[in-house]
Amino acid sequence: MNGIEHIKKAFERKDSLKIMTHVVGGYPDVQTCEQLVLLMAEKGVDLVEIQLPFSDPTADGAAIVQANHQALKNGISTHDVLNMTERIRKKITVPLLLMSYINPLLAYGPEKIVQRAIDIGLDGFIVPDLPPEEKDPPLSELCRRAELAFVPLIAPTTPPRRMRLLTADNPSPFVYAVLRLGVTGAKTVLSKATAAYLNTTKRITGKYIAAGFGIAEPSQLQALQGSADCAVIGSALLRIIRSALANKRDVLAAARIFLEHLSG
Amino acid sequence: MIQESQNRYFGSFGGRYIPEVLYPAFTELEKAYETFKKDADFQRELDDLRRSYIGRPTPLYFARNLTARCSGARIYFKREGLAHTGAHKINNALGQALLAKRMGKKRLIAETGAGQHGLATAAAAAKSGLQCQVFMGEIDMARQQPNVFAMRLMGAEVSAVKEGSRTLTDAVNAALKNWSKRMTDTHYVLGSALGPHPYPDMVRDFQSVIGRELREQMLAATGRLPDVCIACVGGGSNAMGMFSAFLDDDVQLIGVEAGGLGPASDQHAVRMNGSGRPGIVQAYKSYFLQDDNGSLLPTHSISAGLDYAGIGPQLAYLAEEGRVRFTQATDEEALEALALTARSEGIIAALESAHALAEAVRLAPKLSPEAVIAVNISGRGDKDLFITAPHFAGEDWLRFLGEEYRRVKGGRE
Repeated sequence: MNGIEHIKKAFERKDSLKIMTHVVGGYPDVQTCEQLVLLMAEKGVDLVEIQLPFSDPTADGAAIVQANHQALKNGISTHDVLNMTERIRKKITVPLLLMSYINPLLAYGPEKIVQRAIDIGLDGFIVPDLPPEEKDPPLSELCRRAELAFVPLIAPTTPPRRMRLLTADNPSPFVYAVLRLGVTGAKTVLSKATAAYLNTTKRITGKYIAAGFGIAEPSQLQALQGSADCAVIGSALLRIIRSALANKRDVLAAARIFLEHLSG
Repeated sequence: MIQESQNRYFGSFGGRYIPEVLYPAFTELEKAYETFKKDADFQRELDDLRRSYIGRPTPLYFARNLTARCSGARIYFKREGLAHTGAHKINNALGQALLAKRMGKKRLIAETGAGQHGLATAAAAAKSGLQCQVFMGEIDMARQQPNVFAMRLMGAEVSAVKEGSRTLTDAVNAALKNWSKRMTDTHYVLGSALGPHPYPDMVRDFQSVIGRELREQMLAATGRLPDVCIACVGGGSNAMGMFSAFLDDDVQLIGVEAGGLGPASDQHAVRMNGSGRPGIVQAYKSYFLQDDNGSLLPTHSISAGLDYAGIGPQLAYLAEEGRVRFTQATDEEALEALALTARSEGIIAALESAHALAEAVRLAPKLSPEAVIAVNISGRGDKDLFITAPHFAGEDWLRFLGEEYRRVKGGRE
C-alpha cells in the first residue's frame, strides 16, 4: 500500500476524532524517541509526525525549538532520524510522516530523501516553509509521483480562494489546519470562530482536517469533535518529557500517563 | 545585470518560503510597497525627512592622509556614519516606518545584531508615533549595551532572545514569530537586504540613496566614477545600497565578509569563498553557512553586524554572475584598519565598516595613484566603545570602569 492510501485508511478506520502525535527525531535520545513512537502506537495514536531537528524552526514555539536544539547538540543527524524511522516502521503500522523545514531536506537532496522515504516506509511529508508558489525544490511533485502525502498547511488567515490553490492537484488525504496565529505551543482557545474556520476548510478542500497548535487537554479534544477529523499534539508532550527529564523521572512512564489521560 | 527581483528571484536566489500564516501579511506588504514606491507624496515626505531628520546627503570625503600612507589609489569615504543614529540603517528604517504608518500599522518590530538597525527603528518609531519592540540576541545585548540603552531611552521595548546562538539569526527568528502572531497591527521592519520577497528589493531601494549620492558626489569631485567600490557585508544592506548605483558600470564591486579569527578557525562569517552552500533558511534562498544536515553553523565576528550565517539573495546572485567579488578581513585586520583610520583621518569607523577599510588599505597600494576607491563607512564607532576600548586601552579602561562604577554607586547611596 502506498503512503497516501495508508494515511487514508487511518482516517477511515474510525469515526471519532483521530490523534496525531509528534516527536522530534532523536529527542531526548534516539532510543527513548523510538520507544516513544512505539508507545504512541500502543496507546492507539492514529498518525505520528517525526520532526527532523533543525537550527531555525521558525514556525515553532519554545518547547519544540528547545527539543530541536537539544537533539542537534546531541549530534543527531538526518541519517540517524531516518534509520530510527526505518526500525520503527518494521514494528508498527501507524502512518508515519516526516515533518521538516525545507533546508534539511534540501541538504539531503530532494530526490534522495523521497526515495529513502519510500524505501523505509514513510507515508508523507509535512513541510511548513515550502508554499506551492515556490516550485524549487519540487518536493510536492516528487511526493505526488511517489504516492506519498505532501500535506498542505492551512491557516486561519488563509482566504477561501487560496485554500483551493493550496489543495488543488495535491492528493494528500488530509490538510493540516493551523488553529491560530503565532507559533506552536501556547494554549489555543477553541471558539465558535475556530469551528467555523475548520468547517470552511473542510467544505472547500474536501479533505480530512488535522487541527493543531496549542492542543494539550482532553477538553480541547472534546471541543474539536465534529469540526476536525484529527487533533495534533506536539508541544504538550515535549513539555511532559522535558519536565520528566528535569525531575529525573522516567520519560516513557510520564508520556504513558499523558497519553492515557488524553484518550480518557 | 538585473536591478531588482524578477518574479521574486534574483537568478536562482530569493523567493518567499514563508509559513502559511504569514501569507496575507506579505501580500499586503507587497501591494503597499508597490503603491507607495510610485507615490509622489510618499517620496516627497521621505526626501524631506532624509534631509531634515537623517542629515542627508552624507558627505563624500577624500581621505588624503590614508591615501598618502597607502601610496596607491585615492581613497574616498562615503560617510554613512554621519547619518542620524550613526549608521546607514536609518535610511531603511525610516522608509519602512513611513510605509507602515501609511498601511495603518500601530507597531513596529525589528531584529538587530549590532543594535544599529534596532536603534534606527526605535528612532523612526518614536518620530512616527508608533510603538516599537526590538528583538536582540542576549550575547549581542551584552556586547552592544550603549545601543540597548539608547533604544530604551527612545521608548522601544528591547527583548532578549535566549534561543540558539543568541545572536542576529535568532533575533530574526524571534521577530518573524512575533509577526506571525500580530500581523494585523504590526509591521516587521527587516533590517537587511534579505529575507522573503519583497524585503530584499524594498531594503535595497531604501538604501540605494547611498549609491545615488555617491555617484553624483564622485562625479562632482573627480569628474569620473570610482574604479572600485568597497563595502562590508553582513546581510548586505549597506553593500547593496552602495553597489546598486553601479551595477551596469565599469566599476569593480567588492564585498568584505567577516573573517573572524581566520579562515581556518571555523570562527568566522565567511559565506562566499566556498564555505557557504545554497540553502533555504529564514524564508529565502541564498548562500548559508550550514552543516551537512542543513542546520546553520555558528558564526563569529568581532562586529555583531557581520555575525550572521546568511547573505542577501541579490548579493548571492551578483557573486555567481561574477559581478561582485568577495573577500574577507579578520577581527585583527579590522581593528588595525580602524586604528589606522582614526590616527590618519580622525574618523572612528564602526567595526563592521572597518572590515571594508581593511580591504581598502590592502588594495590601494596595488593600484595606480590615478585609481579611485570608494569605501562605504557604513557606521561610526561610538557604539563599539565596550569592544574597542578594552582592546586598545586594556588596563586604563578597566580602571576607568571600576572607578566609574564606584562613583555612580556612591552617588546613589
